[in-house]
Amino acid sequence: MKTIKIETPAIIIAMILLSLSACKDPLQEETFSTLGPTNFYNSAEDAEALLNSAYTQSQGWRDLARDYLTFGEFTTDIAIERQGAINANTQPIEDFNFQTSHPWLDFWWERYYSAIYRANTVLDKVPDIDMNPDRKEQILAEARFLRAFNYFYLYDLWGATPLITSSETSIEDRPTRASDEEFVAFVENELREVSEILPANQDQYGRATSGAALAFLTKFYLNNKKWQEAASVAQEIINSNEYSIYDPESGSRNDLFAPDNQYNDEFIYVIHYADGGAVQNGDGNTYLSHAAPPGYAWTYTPMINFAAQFKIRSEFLELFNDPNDERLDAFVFEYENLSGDIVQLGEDDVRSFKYPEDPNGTSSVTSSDMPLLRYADILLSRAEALNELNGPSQESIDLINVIREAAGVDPIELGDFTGTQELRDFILDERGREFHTEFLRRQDLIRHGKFIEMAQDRGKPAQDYHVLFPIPQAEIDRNPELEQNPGYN
Amino acid sequence: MKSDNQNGPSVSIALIVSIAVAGFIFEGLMQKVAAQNQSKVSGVVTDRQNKEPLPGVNIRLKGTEKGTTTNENGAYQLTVESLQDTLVFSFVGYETTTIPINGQLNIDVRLEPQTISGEDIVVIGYGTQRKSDLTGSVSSIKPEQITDIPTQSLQDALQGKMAGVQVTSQSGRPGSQPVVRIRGVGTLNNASPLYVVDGMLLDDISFLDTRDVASVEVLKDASATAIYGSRGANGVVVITTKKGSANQSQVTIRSYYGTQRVHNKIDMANAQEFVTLANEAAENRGATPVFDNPDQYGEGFDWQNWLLRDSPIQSHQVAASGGTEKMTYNVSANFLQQNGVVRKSDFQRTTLRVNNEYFVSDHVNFGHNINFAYEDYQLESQGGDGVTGLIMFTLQADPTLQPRNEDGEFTDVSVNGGRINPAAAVAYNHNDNYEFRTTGNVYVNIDFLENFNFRSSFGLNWSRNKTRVFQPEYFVTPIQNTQQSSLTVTNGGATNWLNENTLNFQTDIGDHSVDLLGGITFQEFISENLGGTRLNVPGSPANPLKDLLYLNSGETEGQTNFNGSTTWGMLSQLFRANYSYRDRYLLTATFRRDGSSRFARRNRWGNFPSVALGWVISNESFMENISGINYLKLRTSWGKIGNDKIDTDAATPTVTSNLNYVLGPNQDIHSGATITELANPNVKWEETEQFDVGLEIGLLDDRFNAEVDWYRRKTDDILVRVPIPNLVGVTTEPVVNAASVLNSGFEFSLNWQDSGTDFNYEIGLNATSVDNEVRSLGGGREEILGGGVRNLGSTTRTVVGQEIGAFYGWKQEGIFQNQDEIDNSPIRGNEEPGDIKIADINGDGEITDGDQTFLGSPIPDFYFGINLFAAYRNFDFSMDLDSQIGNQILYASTAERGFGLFNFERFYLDRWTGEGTSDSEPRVTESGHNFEVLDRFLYDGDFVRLRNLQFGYTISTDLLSRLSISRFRVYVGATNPLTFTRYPGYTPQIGGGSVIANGIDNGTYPVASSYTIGVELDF
Repeated sequence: MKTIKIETPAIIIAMILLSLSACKDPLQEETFSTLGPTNFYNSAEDAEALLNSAYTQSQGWRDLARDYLTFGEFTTDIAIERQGAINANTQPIEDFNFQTSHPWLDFWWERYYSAIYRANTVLDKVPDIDMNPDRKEQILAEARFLRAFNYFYLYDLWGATPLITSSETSIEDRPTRASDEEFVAFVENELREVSEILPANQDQYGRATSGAALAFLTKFYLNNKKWQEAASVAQEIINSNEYSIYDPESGSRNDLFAPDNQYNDEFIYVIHYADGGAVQNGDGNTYLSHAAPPGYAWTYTPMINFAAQFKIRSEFLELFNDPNDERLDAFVFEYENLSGDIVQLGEDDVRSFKYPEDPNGTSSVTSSDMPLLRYADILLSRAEALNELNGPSQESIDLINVIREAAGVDPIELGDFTGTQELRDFILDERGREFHTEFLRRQDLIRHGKFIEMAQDRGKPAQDYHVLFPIPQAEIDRNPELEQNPGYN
Repeated sequence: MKSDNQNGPSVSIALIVSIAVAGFIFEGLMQKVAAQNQSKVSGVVTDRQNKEPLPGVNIRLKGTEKGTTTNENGAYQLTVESLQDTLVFSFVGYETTTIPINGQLNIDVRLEPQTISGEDIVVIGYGTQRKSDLTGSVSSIKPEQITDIPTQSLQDALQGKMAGVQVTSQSGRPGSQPVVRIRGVGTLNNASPLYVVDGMLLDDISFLDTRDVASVEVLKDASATAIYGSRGANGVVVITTKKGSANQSQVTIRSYYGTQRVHNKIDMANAQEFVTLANEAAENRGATPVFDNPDQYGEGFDWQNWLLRDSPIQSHQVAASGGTEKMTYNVSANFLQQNGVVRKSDFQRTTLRVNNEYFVSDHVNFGHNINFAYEDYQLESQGGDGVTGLIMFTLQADPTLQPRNEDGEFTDVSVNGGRINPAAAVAYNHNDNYEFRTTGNVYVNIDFLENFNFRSSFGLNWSRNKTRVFQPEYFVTPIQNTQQSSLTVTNGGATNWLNENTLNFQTDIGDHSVDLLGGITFQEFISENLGGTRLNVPGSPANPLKDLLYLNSGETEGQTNFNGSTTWGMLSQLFRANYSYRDRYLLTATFRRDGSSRFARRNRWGNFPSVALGWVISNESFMENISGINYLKLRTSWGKIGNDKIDTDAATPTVTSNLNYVLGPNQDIHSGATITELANPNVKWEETEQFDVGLEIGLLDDRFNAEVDWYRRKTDDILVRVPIPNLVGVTTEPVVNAASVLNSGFEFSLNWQDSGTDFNYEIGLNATSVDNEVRSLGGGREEILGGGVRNLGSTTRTVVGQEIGAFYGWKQEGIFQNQDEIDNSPIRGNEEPGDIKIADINGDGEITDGDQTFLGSPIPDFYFGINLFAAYRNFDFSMDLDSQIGNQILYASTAERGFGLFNFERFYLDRWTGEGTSDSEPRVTESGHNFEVLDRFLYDGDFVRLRNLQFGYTISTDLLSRLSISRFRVYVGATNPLTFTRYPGYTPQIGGGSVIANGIDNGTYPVASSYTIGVELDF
């Protein structure tokens, strides 16, 4: 047989093939295009990127106004939502018959905590990055601000929730809720401490400032009825002289919310949306596409008009007892539709165009920034706190009148108010006129003890426990250590 | 006419070749004798199954020694003394056939191949085996059963052909690849099988032309698939392409041309009906009517007719094969063009295949199987199938409007509340795709020391693709517009090389037969893409200038570029032992050890063993006296196999970028990035344990064959995302190997064939039952929600004890006829008369989430196919039926509304309009209570489909033989001409999506019926 001859080359070929294949370790995974922990957390740019990711998770959400209105105003005397697919989510909230599985509660619970996780990641990783120490200190303070800011909103919706202060975690972690004292102390201390590190002004508009930290601290004290503390922190802000009330010589006070006025000194902290439908930061603000009535003829490039309709309740409009109130300019009582007809908006159908049409608006978004805290709120907060502490005083009246004058309505006088309750009620009404469409009504009504009572008056099956929302049932399923808010079991 | 090695058809067994050569000599002698006689009978002898002419067939005058043989074209001529004589046709490997001349001068004969059960050679992993020696469950299909079906994908041609193999066209879009499931769904991740083409391991075989295929084997049980280790758990489809054979030169031409059409259009409302329904819907939500004069509209515009068109499909092949003792060749060129039934979705593919083998010596040969494919296709919309796809836009379109207004501009469909003008969507969409792909291998085989064979191969799958998407600047409606034109060009490339080295030892010692195989393989996958986007590219919207569709023509401002790459590799060792004793007792043991770089170091290696036993009962001596049973075999197997088609990033944390925020007075975008996922370094492949028992039987001289299998596939360690509290703050849940799924069922494959003098037929039936059950989800997870549909939310729920991705929602009990009934019934919210009454399943007097229940499963309980073939003289006929039973389809495209004013399916006309008008169709609404996950959106997916129908005629005249044409067949065929189903959508075959979002019809591209004529020519 010839087999012997063949054998040698066969083995040689086999060996060549084997050695060719083996010359490189085929099991070494190489990932070229995605960053992994070994090539991240190294530079100043990485530190900034980590911080930006926390900002965007805190407030970069196109439907933020929609969701915040749902929780903050559809539960109150101000607004309702009708039609559109989202009605399945908004109507149960308005009707106080929502399930513990409500998807938006789940969404915000997750969103606040993922923003906190990202802030914690900054706080855990940035200290080890070699960079300019001044900027590093600022970054850490901004991250602590964002963390406290998210806890502020968690507390508003759910009360004291678990306090997570580290990004290190394991699959088995099942944290419990913090006590109310612990939670409140944490938020108060953090906001106070970072207010001493953060600058009064940031080069980059949109970043946390010391004023923003103090403003949230004011509101946190106020909502927790710590009147003395609220009044004094509000005074710190006033004394800083960083802020002023928008009172234009001509035009309307409502122009404050126009895209041109985005950097006005009255804004303390805003959700910053980019011009021209930039494709970042949640694409922009979808508020107007929800508020526009059917067939609305847009002033600029036609925008998407959602089936969903945000509407103002007629009863609320009765608060505007002075026809000269410039803040009435926020409302659309009648409009021209695409066919050129003038349509009157009737009962419970008036629209709030507080954030006016934007020449750069496209598709369903405008670039109007959403104020989360305005200087007007600080003034009215101090007025309210002082009234709670000592009853009506000239200082409170003066603070309120700054706002009223800016709105073009007659000032009030101390003599108009016989006691704390009268001024308290007036302040609540003034806040309604001033802050509608800014998601503050629910907080205000709860603080004034009127949230449940007014809902019941509207025929809603509201109960005392409804001042807090239920912790999402899915979250309790995942973490049985979490105790549900009372009333929801 | 006589020449030694030209124009001969291919017959693969060398023995037959030599008999044929002997035959030619014999024939030469006979012709001299025949010259003295009067009557000449002539004809052509062909193989009944593959219709190929048979050379060397013996033809004898009955009762005499006188006779002849057929020539290389299968033709014969015999001089007979009387036309009342009888001819006897005999040939090795075929049934002997006796035909009385009966005065005919031309007698064409089809010989029935003699099937001795178990003698067929079956391709298995890393080798071949006689069917009788198999201990595993393997389905085979012959090429003639698939090549006549007009389709661009081989998998499509397998529909309804094999037990245990379910093929679902997930879309009728030309170029789309169907979903293949072998023995159910064994994972919550990718459940697609592995494809092995001529030894090359692949996930995608879109380059393959079905006419190049010589055989398809589907490996189903663990004994068959374990040799593929971590990639075998979803089953393995082994494809062998055609080779040439020595001294059998042949040129073949195969062509068909046909037209495709969508018969079962969706019954949509016309303009008049639409206006009525739209006004009613407005009224029902307390708004003013949308249309003023509802009576003026009439039929309106039929958008569906506008979108769907009859479109051609054609395919042509020219192939040459043949060879000498030193080399064989098979070269083929294929062209396939399929225009989509939806506008702007055309596909074409050109392939060239060269399969050559070179025989260096008696002991050494090498060869190559190489395929070059070029395809280009368009996509009709950016959105593909689904809510953002063109089909949905068309179904939703307002029939009171035309595509263009009087000025020739695209109509602003938002005037009545519409969203998208489909005509503009088509006109402004430019999405072109090109791919060049080379797939194949070179190999060497060395026989040495008598019993040894060494084989080494180097395979390559190399592809380069390019996608060019141009969006012009346009404005149609507020939602359908662009601010500026943009062009995105992506160049991608992927290389996958595989080196396999195996050593085989084979020996027979007395009654013992041993076959051992060992090997080492290496494989690496490298892919990279590079692309960019530019804004403000010049060119008119409808007809962009092709010359300008390059990134350089756009503005540099606002440009984006991207470039990414991944690489991973595998190293494997494999071993197989086959042992048989007296062809009665069979044992197979296989083992594969795979190492994969996709997993973290400690989980990198996996072991995949299997054992199988077979008992060929019919070879036992006690069976000798039992007549009727020719073949009987019992076999069983067990093994463990893996699925590595899982998320490769799971084991290593990666940074999510683009989490940007707007900062600063110029509103600049500041880039953000962080880690949003907990990586799990313990991730490893999923493991399936499979047990199989099978029985094979051949009866009545093998006219009846049957194969029955029972299987049980249990997959453990299925990678699932486990719930962690959201307060941890990572937005993506971590993955762990935790879930478990069981699939079990029976497979039947029955075949009956018989033949008469000039008539023969064959009936095949295959059937499969699948019982799918989730056994655990692990990690504290109680359910996996999936199948999100706008308006409805999640529609499927995967829980322990149910099938994967089962539909979950409420049951409709009726319609609230009046306020009284609402006041006295449990309700969900603010129902009004005419709204759906939901069943209070838990009986607590309220309608809550607790009243939801399982509404059905997208996985069929049972599927079967019937294949019929019959031939009478020159006529042949074939028919295939395909059926699926017991699955549900979610008709999502009708449930998704309320996002604008959409057209209605005509069944909305049966709506409730007042007390007693309907107890099934609610009043017209577009959102709210009537748009929950309700059983009214679910339909039985049962269907029986006439998959294929074909009539052929083989022309045989002297003229053809003079033109050297050995065979000339013409046929007409119909594919999918008839479907019996209760489902109202385009097609009841809804695949696609992940396994937890299956069976959801969300604007699926319609699967068309096609009608073809074809010719087959052999020279």
